[in-house]
Amino acid sequence: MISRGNLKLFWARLLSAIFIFPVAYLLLLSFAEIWLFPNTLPTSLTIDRWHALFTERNNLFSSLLLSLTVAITVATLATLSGFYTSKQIAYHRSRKLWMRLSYFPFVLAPVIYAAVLYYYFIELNLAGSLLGVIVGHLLIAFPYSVILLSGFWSNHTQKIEQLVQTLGGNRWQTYKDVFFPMAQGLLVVCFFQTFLISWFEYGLTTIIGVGKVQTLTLKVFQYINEANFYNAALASSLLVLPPVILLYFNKKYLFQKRW
Amino acid sequence: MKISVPTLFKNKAEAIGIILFLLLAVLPLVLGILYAILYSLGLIGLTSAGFTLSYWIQAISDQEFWLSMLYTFYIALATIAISITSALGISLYLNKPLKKGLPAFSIYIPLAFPAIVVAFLVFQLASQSGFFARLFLQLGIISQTSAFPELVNDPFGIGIIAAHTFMAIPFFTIYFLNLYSQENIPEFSRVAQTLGASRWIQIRRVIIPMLLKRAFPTLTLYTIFVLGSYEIPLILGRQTPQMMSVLTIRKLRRFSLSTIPEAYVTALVFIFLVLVILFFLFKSRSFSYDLER
Repeated sequence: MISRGNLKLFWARLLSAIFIFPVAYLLLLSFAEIWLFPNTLPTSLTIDRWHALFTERNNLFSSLLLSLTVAITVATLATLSGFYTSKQIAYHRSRKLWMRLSYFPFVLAPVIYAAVLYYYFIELNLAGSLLGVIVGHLLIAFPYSVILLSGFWSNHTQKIEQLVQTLGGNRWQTYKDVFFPMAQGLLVVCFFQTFLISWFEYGLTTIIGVGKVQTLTLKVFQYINEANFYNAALASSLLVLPPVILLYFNKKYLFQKRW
Repeated sequence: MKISVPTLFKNKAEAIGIILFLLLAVLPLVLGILYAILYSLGLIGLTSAGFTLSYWIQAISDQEFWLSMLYTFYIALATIAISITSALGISLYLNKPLKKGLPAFSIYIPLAFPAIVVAFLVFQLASQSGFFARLFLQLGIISQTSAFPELVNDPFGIGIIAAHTFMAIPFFTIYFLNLYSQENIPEFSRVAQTLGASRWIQIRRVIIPMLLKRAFPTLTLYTIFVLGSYEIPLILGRQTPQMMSVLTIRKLRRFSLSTIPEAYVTALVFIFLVLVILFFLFKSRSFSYDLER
């Protein structure tokens, strides 16, 4: 007879299999040479697609680099500016208002936000440019970073700041020697969370980038449209692997209680 | 005697911080809404011919608009209902096995998937020529692929709901597991047990109400995310009805310029709905902004 504990373990393992299966499926499809209907498995496999990605430095490789550039820039800017701004907001007399306002751009559908902002991006010559896409992503990542990092500031941190000043420390020293080391863990989480916001973004990128800034998510969509499912799987694998690697190092990078 | 005059900012650092916040978080939103309002009223834009309410009347009298709104709410509420029920069941039943080993790692994997990849996966797996249809065919459960249920681009949005659910169940399971220990729920449960409550009563009257009450803001915000989803309905949805975000972009990108103001009407209605939901959320449960932590 199966014990209750074993039954639970069975269900937990089944659940694991359900969650791991998509990763395995994507990888298999990206390695498939021919996988025609009605076969449940590919008839032959090839490493050509993956090989070409890194040796020939094709379009997809450029998209990978582009996505990395955008996501790293957005994450760095959002984390640093969010850290600075969240402090000013936390100690401001209208902090309740500011904090509530920070939710609006973050929860609004990015594609709708991009649609109503598109005109200004054209006027500022930012539409269809890399800078435009970075600014667009920042408009979502920054409020998120403010929400996340606002949790760091408290009466305790304020007292520490006053103590540092009493001991003769200037503002830069307070940040460098006290706040950054204290908030290190949260800043790393914020960096990776904002990195993922940018890394996963499609709707806003396609509108603001006018389809010219071909990040990996746009490549996936393009390949699906062309019915090139093998390349779509390859691009999808490239999108999924960095977060899975992050997950291996620390689960917090992927899941953070946001609200 | 020194008279203190209230100033806008305490010092330069505060001014820079708040101005940066206004520039990046508040001003774009205000300008965006303003532009959409002016465009939808015919005051600006390529088709502008002076103030008119005709675009609003046209958009609101269009059956597609209302259908789209209903469909959007149906998808979001169905996703949330299925995800919450499943996540509660999983987190309560598999509380211990999900905390160690492979299950503890794999539950996080769906969080590593962007929406567009999930949409692609559901398309690959659940379409009539997809992996599951092939499997059913090989196993002899169906004799031809047309016998496989239409799960992608279907009228009930099953594919869309499945894709969202795949991402939401792990998210809420992890969230509930965290809440379960953070909120000392086992302690309350034990108190109820001491007072004679059965396990089922403890779950129904103590654990679930506590988890849901604490999770209410997150649930509401996640519902807003699903309401505004774009990639998933774009790939897995139908031409009609379409979710509001897809409808907005379709109208915005049509060759006919006359649909652009209508696109802004749809966008504004969506923004208004989000603002109303957030307003009630902020009102019903005060988020903690207390510095005494």
